[in-house]
Formats: sequence, C-alpha cells, structure tokens
Amino acid sequence: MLRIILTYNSIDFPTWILVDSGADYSIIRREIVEDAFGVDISKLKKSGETCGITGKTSVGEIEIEMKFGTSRKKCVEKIPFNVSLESSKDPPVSLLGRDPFFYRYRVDFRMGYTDDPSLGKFVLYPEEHKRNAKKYKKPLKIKK
Amino acid sequence: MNSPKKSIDEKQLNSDYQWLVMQGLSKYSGQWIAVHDKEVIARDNSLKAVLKKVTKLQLKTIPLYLRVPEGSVTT
Repeated sequence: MLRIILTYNSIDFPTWILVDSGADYSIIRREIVEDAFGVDISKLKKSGETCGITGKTSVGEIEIEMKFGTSRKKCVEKIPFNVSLESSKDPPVSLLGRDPFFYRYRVDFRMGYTDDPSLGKFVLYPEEHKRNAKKYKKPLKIKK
Repeated sequence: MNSPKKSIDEKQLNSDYQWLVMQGLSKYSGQWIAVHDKEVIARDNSLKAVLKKVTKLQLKTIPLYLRVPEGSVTT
C-alpha cells in the first residue's frame, strides 16, 4: 500500500492505494469519487469494460491528481482512474495499475528488514525512457 | 465532504500512517476509518458516514482515510 493524497476539484483526500503491477489500469472505489469528491457517477460516460477480481464491469474514467513521496522528494501525477459504473462491482480497494504509473515510475518494494509485508517499503524512481516506446508497440518477433 | 479550506499536514499524515501499519486492523475489517493524531477518530461501513463524523469534529487538518479490506487482498 502506498500513502497518497488524491485531489479533485480542490478537495484533498489522503488515503492509501494498492500498487498493483498485475493490473493494466488504475481503478478507484466509487465512494471516493461520489462521497469525497461529490461526483455524480451516473453522469460519467462509459469508457469501456474491464475484467478484474469482481468480474466484468462497465467503467467510466476520471482524472485525479495524486501526490506521493517523502518530505525530501514529492511527486505529483495526474492519473486517469477507472470507476465501476455498477455499484456491485466495486473493487475491495483502489488500485494503481501499470498504465500510466509504471511507465512513469520504476517501482521497487523492499522487505530486506522485515518479513511482514505490511511493513515493507515502496521505493519509486522516475523511469528513464532510453528507447522509443512507439517502436515496441507490436509483439517482438521471436527468432527461430 | 472535506472543506477545501482545511489544510494538509504531511508530517502528521506520515506519522499517522507509520502508526497505523503497526496496528492490528482486523477489528475494522470492511469498514472505512479516519485516522488523526495516532487515533482512529471515526469508523463506519460507509465513507459518507465517516466524512460526516469527521466534519462534526472540526479538525484543523484533514485526517487519513482508508478502507480496511476484508481479509487478505489478492488481485
């Protein structure tokens, strides 16, 4: 879990989020969008469908500013979050998936000093893009 | 809903988070909680109710909100 501050419409909401390298996209719980930020989810346009631990669900999209880091290094990113348009299909926690977070940051999780996963620490580095991402859009050919 | 006038105290949030991860949270399983000054100041099944309780407390800074998942989280 990563401690973050979400900001939308000048409303700050400090919380934690599960950093999930297994998720393609990020998803935020409906209550945060509705009750903390006052957004009417029924007015969100359907942006697609996603398949996760709660099954297949229609999602809308909302861009939220996310602050994280330490007192020495603070980072601010705008993250497009999916929101389930079906109340019964909300994930148990909000997830920070690969696109675009893992494109922007190299994520390291350290447990060298603890065997308790809840006490491990995230170490994040801004990702260096040494190669052109467009070149690697298609699957690489495997040489025989 | 939080008033935008309330400030964020990053130092406080960090110390509350560090305190929180050392606590047993199973008693809050499935609930939203608000943490301020190393204390759980509100808990409820809905975030709306927790936000309402926190508003009544008239804190100077915004607390840390989180939903404690039921059991382990596996994605």
